Amino acid sequence: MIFWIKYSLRSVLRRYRTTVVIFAGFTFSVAVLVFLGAVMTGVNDTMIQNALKLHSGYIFIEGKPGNYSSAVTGLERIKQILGKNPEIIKISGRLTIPVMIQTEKNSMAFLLNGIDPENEAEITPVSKKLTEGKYLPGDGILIGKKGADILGIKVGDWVSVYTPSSMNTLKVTGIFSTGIDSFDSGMIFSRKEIFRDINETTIGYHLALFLRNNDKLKETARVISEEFKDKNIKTWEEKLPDIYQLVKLNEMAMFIMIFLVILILGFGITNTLLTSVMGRKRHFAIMKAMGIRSGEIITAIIAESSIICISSGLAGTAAGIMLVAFSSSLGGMDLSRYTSYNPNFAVNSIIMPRLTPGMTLLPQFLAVFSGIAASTIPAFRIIREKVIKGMRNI
Amino acid sequence: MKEYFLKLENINKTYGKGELAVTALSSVYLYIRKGETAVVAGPSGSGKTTLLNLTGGLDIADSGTISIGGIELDRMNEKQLTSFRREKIGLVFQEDSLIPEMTVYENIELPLALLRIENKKRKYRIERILSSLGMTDKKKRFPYELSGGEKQRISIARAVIHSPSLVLADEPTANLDMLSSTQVIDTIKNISDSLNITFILTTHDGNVLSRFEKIIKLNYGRIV
Repeated sequence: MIFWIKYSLRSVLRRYRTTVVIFAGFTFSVAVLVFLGAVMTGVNDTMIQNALKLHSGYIFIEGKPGNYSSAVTGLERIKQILGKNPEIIKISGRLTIPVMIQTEKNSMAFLLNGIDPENEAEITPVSKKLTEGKYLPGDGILIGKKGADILGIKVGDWVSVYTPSSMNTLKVTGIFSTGIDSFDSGMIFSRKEIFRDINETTIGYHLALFLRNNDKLKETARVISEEFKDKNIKTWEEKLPDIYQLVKLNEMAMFIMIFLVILILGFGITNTLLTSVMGRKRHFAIMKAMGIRSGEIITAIIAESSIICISSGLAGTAAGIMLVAFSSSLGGMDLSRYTSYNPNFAVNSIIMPRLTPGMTLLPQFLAVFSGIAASTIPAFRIIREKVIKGMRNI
Repeated sequence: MKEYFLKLENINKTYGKGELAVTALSSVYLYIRKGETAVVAGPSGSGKTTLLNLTGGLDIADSGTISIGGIELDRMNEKQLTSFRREKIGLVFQEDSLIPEMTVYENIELPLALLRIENKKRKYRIERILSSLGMTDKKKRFPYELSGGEKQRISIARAVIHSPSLVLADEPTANLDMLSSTQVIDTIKNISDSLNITFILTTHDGNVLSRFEKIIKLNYGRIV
């Protein structure tokens, strides 16, 4: 066995032209696959961040409705406890109440969100998506462009805001546009303090929790669920099933692509190895005539393929990691030219390729596996060939 | 009287079928004693290579029996034949039969490695045979760095390094110049004399024939 591994190593090194061709092709393919995997993860990250930054966060906690005081107390208590969780990097706490806005032109239902403007500006992109006016300078509301257009509202207008049992007149201080219809026509924002004047017992509150990334979503959600058993806690995957589907679809599309590339790579490797091994047919025939057993020939050919596949797989993975690092050092890939109308990239269109252990090791594993599997074809062709036939050219 | 070491009895071999059938060997009987060197001579297509292939267990005769040292080859399966060749047979082919990725040393080492001879013994045997051939300085060379005659002498060294019972050499001097051819034949004669190995070689070279006593002439697949 050791003799044949040594023989294979010598063969790989001494037939360096063939080795270089296979090595280069293999390294390139694995590097591209690692990079594509990182881009796919980056696309998913951006899609998730875009979807979550607007409203829900990674984990969404909803408290029971009550009056202003109970809602604020509930909100602050949860914020204080969750502030100690190392996985949570930011928390947006909001008071909510369903309202109706009536103008001379039309009337529409909205969800009024009472926020802490400074904190919200650090977390969600609403403050950056203003098309007119200012970002909550005092008492007043921000309204989505679509809602404003339907109601015929401009910045500076005073509008009647109806809660279930009262009516308040509030000034429109700004109009935002995220590009997402449901958001632009269903949400309005005000300072949290405005809710003090709304004498209602149906004031709800929720918290949007932002994590470092999606990797520890389920684990963190489980810990929070155990801590706050009386609260309605949902992950973004439950809250935004359409986005979750899209992410899964993207992952599946990438896996199919990786599989196809590996398949093509496998055919390429088989062909190259077949040419390389069959080119030495007569030398293998001499060895068989000398008494080399079939198992030893298979060992030699598979060892040769393994040496090339494993070394080039490692080189390809390293090259892929360097490509990702290089792309990140350039600030990611800006797709804004191509995605300006894509609601899933309404907030951020920069794809930052990210390596995950799975997507980094999978191409190498698959490529090595396919390379070794491919080498069995020439190996079996050689052992099935009769010695006398292989030696005819000698 | 000494028992025959190699016996070929009523060997027949035909390639192809029907109208395309070509008789390579017909009713061949051959008896060779242990340590003897025999030369099979004949023109191209006379069946020399077929005779060697059958004797070496590389091909199977249509009928007849081949016995080497009392072991009948036709009673062996493929696996047994492979082991038999590994241990008992040495093969020398026409030019270019060394493994190009291996050095001279590694080429000669191959049969010893197959028999799992320990490294120290391998080294000793290889050094000794290279020394006897006067080629110690070439041990790290690759086959493409050797002349035709040198390649064939290394092939012979590889064929005998594991002390086989029988060495079969198929036209070992083909395509060699007179001097190289003489050196190769000298090597064969020296080894067969000193190691008591039975040698069968084929040739159609008159100069080679003149160096040996036991000559078997083949024509149209028959011994004449």
